[in-house]
Amino acid sequence: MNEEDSVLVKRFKLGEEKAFDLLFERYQRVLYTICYRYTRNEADARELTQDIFIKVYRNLKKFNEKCKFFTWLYRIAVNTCLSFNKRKHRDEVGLGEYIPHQPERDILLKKAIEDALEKLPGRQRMVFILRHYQGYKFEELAKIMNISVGAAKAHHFQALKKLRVFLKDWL
Amino acid sequence: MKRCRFNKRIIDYIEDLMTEQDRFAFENHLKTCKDCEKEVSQIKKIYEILDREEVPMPSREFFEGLKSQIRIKRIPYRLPFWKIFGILAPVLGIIIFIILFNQKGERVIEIAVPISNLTLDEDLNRLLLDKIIDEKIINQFSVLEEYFAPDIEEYLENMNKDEIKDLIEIIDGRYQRFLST
Repeated sequence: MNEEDSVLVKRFKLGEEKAFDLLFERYQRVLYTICYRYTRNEADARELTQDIFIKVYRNLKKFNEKCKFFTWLYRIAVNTCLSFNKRKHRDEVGLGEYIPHQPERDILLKKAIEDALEKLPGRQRMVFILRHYQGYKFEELAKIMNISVGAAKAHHFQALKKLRVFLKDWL
Repeated sequence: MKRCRFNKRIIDYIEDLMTEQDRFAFENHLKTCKDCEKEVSQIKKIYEILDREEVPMPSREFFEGLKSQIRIKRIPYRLPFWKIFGILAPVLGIIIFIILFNQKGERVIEIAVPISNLTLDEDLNRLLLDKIIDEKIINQFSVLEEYFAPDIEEYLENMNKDEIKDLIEIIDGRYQRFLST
């Protein structure tokens, strides 16, 4: 566990609420980013971020300090995202909803990326996000997602393969 | 078309998962293999496209609000199915147990009937269960049945319950008289 994270967790467990605020501030943006990349939607990303932090706040006292805090935190985030996708699908966003002054090609590209990522199955999408955007090693990623390293690599490979097909017009 | 043997290492190369030696060999291969070279450039392009996209971050107020919200807000708690079942199963078991033991309908009564022949006869069994005749009569009847068999079966089949009862009483009376003499 990151030294500072572990100290903050201990302080929170001893009843210091402020310690949680510091953990929150440390991870708020990165968790929001993951949620946004996963849901492709601001409202959903906000809702998910809130759900994740509520779960973290409620369960932090039960957190086993033998594990790395960020692994535990990311696992909550991943599970929340995966189950969120199962119960809620965002409304389709039409091209007309994008900011009009953006160049047309950018708008189309953004839409293409959105569609491509959205077509990926939940686990493949999450592995791809954590690997590509968050830069996690497959070993870390496997721990976060509670899968084997081989499975993580396979998910990533499949995601990439599909993205090549979905985005072929842009290559 | 035969696939290049280096093809499956493309991801390792792009993801920087190769040893220095493998990397060197792969880069040399790329100079000569058009297919692999094309695939590598396509994947790199995908990464470029994806990296171009920025995440619209919410305002500072959103995070401030969220920080205070998480201490108040409650997530609706959904009891998992196995927990619901774990709670309901014993309750249902107790209810079924109570219902079964409080039933005032038919009850199963064990009666020792020593004459296996007669127990095959449903009418006689019914008379016995209804306590119209008792075991003693059946014992006596079995002696008679052996005596009259096999015609008794035919007679009994053509009789109703009352006639059977009368017959048994008559036979029993005669049998008693027979014994007393």
